[in-house]
Amino acid sequence: MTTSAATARSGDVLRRSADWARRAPLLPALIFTIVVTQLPFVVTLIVSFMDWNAYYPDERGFTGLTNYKRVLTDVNMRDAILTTVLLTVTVVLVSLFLGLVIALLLDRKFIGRGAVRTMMITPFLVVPVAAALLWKHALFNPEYGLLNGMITAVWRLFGSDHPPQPDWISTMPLVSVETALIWQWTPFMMLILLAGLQGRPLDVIEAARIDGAGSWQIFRYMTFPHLRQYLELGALLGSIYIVQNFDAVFTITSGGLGTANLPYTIYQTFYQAHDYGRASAAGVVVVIGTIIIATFALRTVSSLFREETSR
Amino acid sequence: MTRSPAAQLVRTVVISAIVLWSLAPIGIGVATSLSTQADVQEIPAHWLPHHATLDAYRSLLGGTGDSRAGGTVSESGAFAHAMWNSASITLMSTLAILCVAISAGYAFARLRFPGRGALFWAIVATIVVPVFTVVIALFGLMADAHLIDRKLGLVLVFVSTTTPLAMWLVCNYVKGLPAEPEEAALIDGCTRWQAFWHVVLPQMRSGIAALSAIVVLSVWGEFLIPLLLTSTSASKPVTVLIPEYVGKYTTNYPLLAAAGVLALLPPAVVALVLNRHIRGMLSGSS
Repeated sequence: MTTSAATARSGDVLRRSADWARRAPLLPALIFTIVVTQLPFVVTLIVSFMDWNAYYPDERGFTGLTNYKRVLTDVNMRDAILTTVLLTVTVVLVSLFLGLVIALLLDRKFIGRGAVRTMMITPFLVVPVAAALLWKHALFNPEYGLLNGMITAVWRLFGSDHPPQPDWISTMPLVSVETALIWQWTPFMMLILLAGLQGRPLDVIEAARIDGAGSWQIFRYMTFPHLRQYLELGALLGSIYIVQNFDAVFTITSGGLGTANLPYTIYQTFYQAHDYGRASAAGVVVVIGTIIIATFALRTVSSLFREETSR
Repeated sequence: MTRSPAAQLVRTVVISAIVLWSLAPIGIGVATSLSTQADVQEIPAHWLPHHATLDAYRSLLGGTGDSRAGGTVSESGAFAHAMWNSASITLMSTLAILCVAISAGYAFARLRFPGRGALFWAIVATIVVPVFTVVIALFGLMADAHLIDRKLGLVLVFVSTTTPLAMWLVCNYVKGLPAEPEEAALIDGCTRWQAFWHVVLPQMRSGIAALSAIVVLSVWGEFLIPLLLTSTSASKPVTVLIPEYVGKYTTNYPLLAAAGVLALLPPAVVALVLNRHIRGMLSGSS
């Protein structure tokens, strides 16, 4: 028995080294990936426990949890968290909804469908920072922007010479930022949902129609459950990117008027206050918060859907 | 399916409205880039320029410091150089990301090795780590490595931030491929690497095309990281240069719009060429 165990073990060792020899060509990529993806966060974690301000380089050293205490009691940081959540949720939900409506409309056959689909993607191709500038200067501008130009035109039509010319960005700063982002993200959601719609089992839907199911019933009980995973994918990818949005806030409002979200606040702590320790602690808090929220949200959403489909 | 003319009409109107909502802002951008500064600032606003002109493009690419630029100085050749920086950074990053993500994604999908699950989650979890939370660490690392204001530094950072998502997509994609052809090749005496190179890669062609499009789009549009890590024209990409055309007191709108239009072209070309594959990838990635 002992001998058989020993041979088995030596066989194991041999097999294992042979396994490693076979894997060897793929290892460098793996190691590189691990180092390159994990290193920044590990360093962030270390810096977050340090007193490190570029203005006082001599005082650099470890301070324990001081940075975390300051981050969690900072009013600006709490406002930024709230703004980030509000911005992300609004943009993701509205662009998912619009994307769904557009995808459903474009799923039917009509003349020029391919061309329309291609044109619809364009907003997503515009460089984000240029898109934000476009909205700020060409659309929201109170004097010669497209929005107020349209209001003037409509008012003229009804014979009024004094159309309202609101200053969009200063009266509704957060909505302005959200509008620009929704414009850019709707095509992305549409693409994902169109792909989902094309994977629908058409024969089953046809059978349901013959059995007398209405359009709404087909959407509610067949199309929607089928699209679930695509909606989730869109929401997930959208949230990941929009939580990080810096470009729109930076260009449209420069973080003023209550639109400073977390990326902008951390950028300021880093760039203006040069407080590396505190900015890193804020980053770690954000990551922990994101993981908690993402876990809960995904669990809630999927349990909701499970109830829907089991009904 | 038969539909009433009224329903048909409603649908046409709705679709036109949607197309308008998507394209009108871009149309205004293009119209602005073809206008003169005076034309743009006329009140009330009008849609099309009275005298279409390519002046904005000319001063952007040729460079001018004179009054035509409306106060904002466009250094000679600065824009063209930034476009070149963006293009070379995007190309290098995309190649590196594809190499790493495809081989690592394949390894995670098909090979069994100790710590595989933990490693996979450690890498994929970083998709959820927003880039802005690690910028300080990145800045420190780059400064220590003397990579501030160098293209190589940006490439490394983009590889770090984009590889996890790309690798995750590749891994899912490979798992969706049939394993039999590779296994047959392995039994026939191919090494793992040969099987990967000759059997698996050709099957992944359209997935790789879609992935390249996604990577090119996201790297080309990066703003925060290059804003922090670049300082001169040696490495400054076009995304960082464009906001600089916004002047403190006056802004040369045609110049700004022309810059935006030119920056849109490369990703638009990539997306048009790879359009078909992008849709395929998205439908297969869930």
